[in-house]
Amino acid sequence: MLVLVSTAQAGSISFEKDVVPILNNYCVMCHLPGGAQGELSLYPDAWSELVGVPSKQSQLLQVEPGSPDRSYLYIKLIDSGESVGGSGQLMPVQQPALAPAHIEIIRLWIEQGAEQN
Amino acid sequence: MGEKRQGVTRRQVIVGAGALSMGAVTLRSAKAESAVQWDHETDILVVGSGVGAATAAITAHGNGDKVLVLEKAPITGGTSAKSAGVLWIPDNFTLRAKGIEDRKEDCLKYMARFSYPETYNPADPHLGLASNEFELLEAFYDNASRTVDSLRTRGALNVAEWRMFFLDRPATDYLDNVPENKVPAGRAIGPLKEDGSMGGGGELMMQLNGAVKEREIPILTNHRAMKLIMNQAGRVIGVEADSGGSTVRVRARKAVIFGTGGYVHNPEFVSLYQPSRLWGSCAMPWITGDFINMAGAAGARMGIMSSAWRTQVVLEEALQSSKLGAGVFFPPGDSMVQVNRNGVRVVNENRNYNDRTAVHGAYDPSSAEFPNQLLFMIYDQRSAEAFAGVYPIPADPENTNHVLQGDSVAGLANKIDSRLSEITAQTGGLSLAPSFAGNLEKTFKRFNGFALSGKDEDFQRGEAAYDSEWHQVFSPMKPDSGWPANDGPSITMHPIREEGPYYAIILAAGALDTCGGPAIDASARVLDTRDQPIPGLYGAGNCIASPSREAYWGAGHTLGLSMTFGYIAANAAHNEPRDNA
Repeated sequence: MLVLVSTAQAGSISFEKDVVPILNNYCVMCHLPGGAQGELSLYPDAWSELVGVPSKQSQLLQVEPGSPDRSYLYIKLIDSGESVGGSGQLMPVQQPALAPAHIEIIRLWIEQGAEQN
Repeated sequence: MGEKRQGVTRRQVIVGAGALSMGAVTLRSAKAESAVQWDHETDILVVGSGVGAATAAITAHGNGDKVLVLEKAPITGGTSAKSAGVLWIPDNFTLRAKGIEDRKEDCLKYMARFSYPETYNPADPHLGLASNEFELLEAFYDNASRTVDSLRTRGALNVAEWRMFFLDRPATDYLDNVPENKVPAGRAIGPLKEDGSMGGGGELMMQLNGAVKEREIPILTNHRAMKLIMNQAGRVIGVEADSGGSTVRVRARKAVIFGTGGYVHNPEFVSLYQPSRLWGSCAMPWITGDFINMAGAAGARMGIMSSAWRTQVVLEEALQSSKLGAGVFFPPGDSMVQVNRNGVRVVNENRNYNDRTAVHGAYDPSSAEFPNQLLFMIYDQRSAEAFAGVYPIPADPENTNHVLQGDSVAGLANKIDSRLSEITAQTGGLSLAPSFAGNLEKTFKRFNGFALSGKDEDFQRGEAAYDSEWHQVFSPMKPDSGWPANDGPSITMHPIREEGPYYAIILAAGALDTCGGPAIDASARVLDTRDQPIPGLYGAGNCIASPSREAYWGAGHTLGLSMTFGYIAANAAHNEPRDNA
């Protein structure tokens, strides 16, 4: 995590190195093929399931490159999704919220264009 | 797009139950044994990567044994990674630091009283339990805090007292209100994040499996154990696994430790072993009870098979998929009741999820039916708005498919009836009794009297500390809802409004996972039909018959048991003779 924070502070976010480990540690257990909650599978190819893909619960895209506040993925990490017409609970479901540093990494990755880098 | 993969193909991710050939292979001669082509060799083979398995792997490595881990799934952590990450550990270091004495004789009485209420006898040296039952409880108490201390000392686990969120007090046990429970709060601990805040199951398993990786213990994901390999003396000497259609044989010179899941996503086993229907589970989708057939083929005696860590689930979600994100661990709302098809309450709605859910399986011999198979969580506009967004009450009742709404009691009953008619093929024709609406009116009146007096004369809702404290944790009122705080004598109950609208959510029985399987002894050795250990075979976690039977002693119960018996298994396996043949 220290590595992730320092990377984020440096301003350069890598999807594979910075974002995927967060998804794998905190998110994929509920978002796997065969049991994907919210019809969102984050494994084995999270980028293709997220970037530019409409969310099932709101009018937003899962990830709109450049716009964290219009990305349902990011919204679900900071509130239930109700504020953007979504539904359900804050993610991860029935667990403590992600650490602020992890949320910031995802926000920055989206803001920087949500590249598959 | 989609070229970069996180390690595997999509096909490899989907692991079904299937009637695959699982069992055991016995090598009938030394010649046959020497002819086996092993793909990997190790001292201790650990199967699974949840909390019990990871603890076993770390402990075995610390003992100087060579370890290898097989994991069926493409990712590690199992259902433990999806849990709250809490560990129920008696006499833990946080209690000791506060000078709270959690004495063995007292704790054993609590565990025995909760797990075996029908035979519990405090005057008996074994508290009324069979020897093996008592020894399992004793082994848990003796090793639970040692396990945590060992992992902390090894730098594999960073935990602290688990406190009840904004209540900021130690977690109250799930049966705090019996005289046998001398330490009714504080046995729960949880994983700390690097920033010092409390983490969940993801954090717990990141720590433990991170420690496994730091020790360079190989973890072979996408390897599904299929067969135990036994030598002519009846010792388990390895495992045959399937990996993407290829057979992989792993030799274990000392022992094989299973720390895998239950059978909750195996419909055949659920139908065979569960006393009543389970509609869904939040266990990982690949949890299909593989160990049962393998251990059975090796001659294992089955222990209790019917047990499960139960929770209510939202029926509408379970009908979409039995593989759920979460259960209804605590139903929110104070102007809320749960009633059965007859419109009557059948349970204290604020009891813990495991015990509360058991009431779904009650059988009525007069009508020859299970009248509680579905329960209806019914609430008024106050609870709909004051607890909006607290699962399963939605933030917006108009924008959800699991809430039914009626302007009156009769109107709500009609809505429920109509919905049950629509899903009759999926429920086996479950319906409301003709008396439902009339009885529901009476239920409201009776409950409202209890809310005003603060005394639930039927089910004692709110009387135990568990009820009111966990209610506050899991049923927080929205500060901006416009509804007044509950200033009645019990915070768990508020009169239901005399005028509608009313809302209903249909609840059914589900499980975190099952916890029935092969019997083990106090050293976590799997027993055969003569109650003798099967040499080289150990079990911990949901794959074996739970040492606590059906009881859920407190927050973190399942993980605490699994972790402790993983530790016990690794230490006992260390003393097995090393087969260098």
